[in-house]
Amino acid sequence: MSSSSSSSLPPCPKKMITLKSSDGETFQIEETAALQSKTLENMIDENCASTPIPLRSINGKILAKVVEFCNKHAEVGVDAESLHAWDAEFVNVEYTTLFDYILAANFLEIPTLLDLASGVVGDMIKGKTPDEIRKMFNINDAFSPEEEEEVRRANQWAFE
Amino acid sequence: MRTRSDRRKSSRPRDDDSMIVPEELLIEILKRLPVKSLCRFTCVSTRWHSLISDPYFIDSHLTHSATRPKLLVGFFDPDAGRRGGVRVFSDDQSEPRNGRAQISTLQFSLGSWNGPYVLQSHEGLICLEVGSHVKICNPSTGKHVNFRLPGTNTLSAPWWSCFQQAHSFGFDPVERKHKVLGTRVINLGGLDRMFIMELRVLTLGTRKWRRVEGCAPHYKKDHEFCFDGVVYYTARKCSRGIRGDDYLVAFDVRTESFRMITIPPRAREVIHKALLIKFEGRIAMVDRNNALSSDEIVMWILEDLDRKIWKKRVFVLPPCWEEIVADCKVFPAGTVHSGELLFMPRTLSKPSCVFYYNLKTNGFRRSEICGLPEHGFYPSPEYCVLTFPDHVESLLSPGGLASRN
Repeated sequence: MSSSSSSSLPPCPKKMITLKSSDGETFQIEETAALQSKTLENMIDENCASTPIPLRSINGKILAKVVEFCNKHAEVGVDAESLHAWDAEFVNVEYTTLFDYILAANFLEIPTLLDLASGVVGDMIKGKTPDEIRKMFNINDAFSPEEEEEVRRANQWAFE
Repeated sequence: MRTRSDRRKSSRPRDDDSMIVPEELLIEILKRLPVKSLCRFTCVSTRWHSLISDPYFIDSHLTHSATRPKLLVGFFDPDAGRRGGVRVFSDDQSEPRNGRAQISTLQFSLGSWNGPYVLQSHEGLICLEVGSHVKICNPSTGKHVNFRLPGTNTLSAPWWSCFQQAHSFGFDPVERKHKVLGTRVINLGGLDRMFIMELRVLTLGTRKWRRVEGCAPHYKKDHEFCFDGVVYYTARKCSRGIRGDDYLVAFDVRTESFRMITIPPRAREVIHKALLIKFEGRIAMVDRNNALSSDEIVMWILEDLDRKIWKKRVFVLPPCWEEIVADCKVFPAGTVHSGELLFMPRTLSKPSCVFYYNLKTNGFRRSEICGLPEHGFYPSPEYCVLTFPDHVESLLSPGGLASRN
């Protein structure tokens, strides 16, 4: 016959998992929201999510935002337009924070966040000059002036 | 002159460790950028240069770019002088009013041009026949490679003979190879009207034309169209009579084998100058010259390639189409990613518009090409000479896959 589930059971409790940031902060996230991360999904599938999951590459400040992002995107009944507006507000931050989002989204494998944050950085930098890029990314392994001139000449049209 | 050491304005204290962006993250950011930005960023540093030139990165960028195909439009360049040239612009196909400025100028002589031509690009590369060469270009990077067309020898083509030479550009998505098919039919004349067919294939990444066999002598009639690894073009069979039959030639790019499919006479009555398109996964034809001369679009679809079954379909345009197109002279230029049939203007006027007809919903829309230069670009009617629907921007080298790095 049917399974033994009795009618006296409380409404299905929300299954929570705990994440631990590099600086020791812990965060609770619903399993349904956490499933947006392929990394966490794998851990849940392998029953490794019953104890707090240490995320050594993500600090508390960023992890809080990532959890917020996953919660928002797991909400039911949010229309596309308001979610879009929410996303735009979410990424309205310094580019250094965006880099942290990308790092976290890449580590946790959250494609929506990865796409969003990388896209914003892309829009930010696509019109910049190499000099501006060097400043922004703090790059020190630049070409010698002669080498740079040669590479630049090969792609001259891209500077017009 | 700019100096690289000018960092004094940087007010924020830098934590160097946190600013080292790991390679995979740099890839995530860069693969979303237009090719033009990437070409400029090759100067940023040795690391960025090697990353942007890396075949793995070129592939990631291409995969991402393929989800957003563009419309490329080329116009004669009034400033190009005797060398000739076509300015190429890219435009967003899905969203109106999202055109982008010029991406490159293709240099070639215009002597034999009687366009407008609709051509195809495959993984960002295009193929043009210029004089005695086939030119493979990447309009996004502005790079190109020339391949000399094979010559005739006096044995196969004596001085009294005449010949038609043509080429077709195809792509095999399985082995990811670009190939150029060269066809030359030599008419030896004489009482028994002898024809010799010479077929050659050039694979990008190599520099040699190889002879292939397996197709009866024919004259190529219109531009080819390639999808799912098969190049199609309409052709007229060479025959001793006054006029040979019309065929659709199907060339399998990977196996390099041919098939010839008869075009039914009823289709030839309505389709004089065929534009080959992809419709619901099949090859189909519409007429290029009179496709918007009435409220109907007649399409002939090759329902079954093996059994050579053609089917006619008539699309009745929505009443609003005349108002939307107004007095713009247009011609069909193929179906795009979204399944819509694209119509291009024959001449460039202001505003420059293209039109999309949705074959499923019967919707008709207009899209303005923005970003065209304001001044000095509108002498006499400017002919739109080249159209590449569904162009995917890529960093691919026109030398082919084998020489990617």
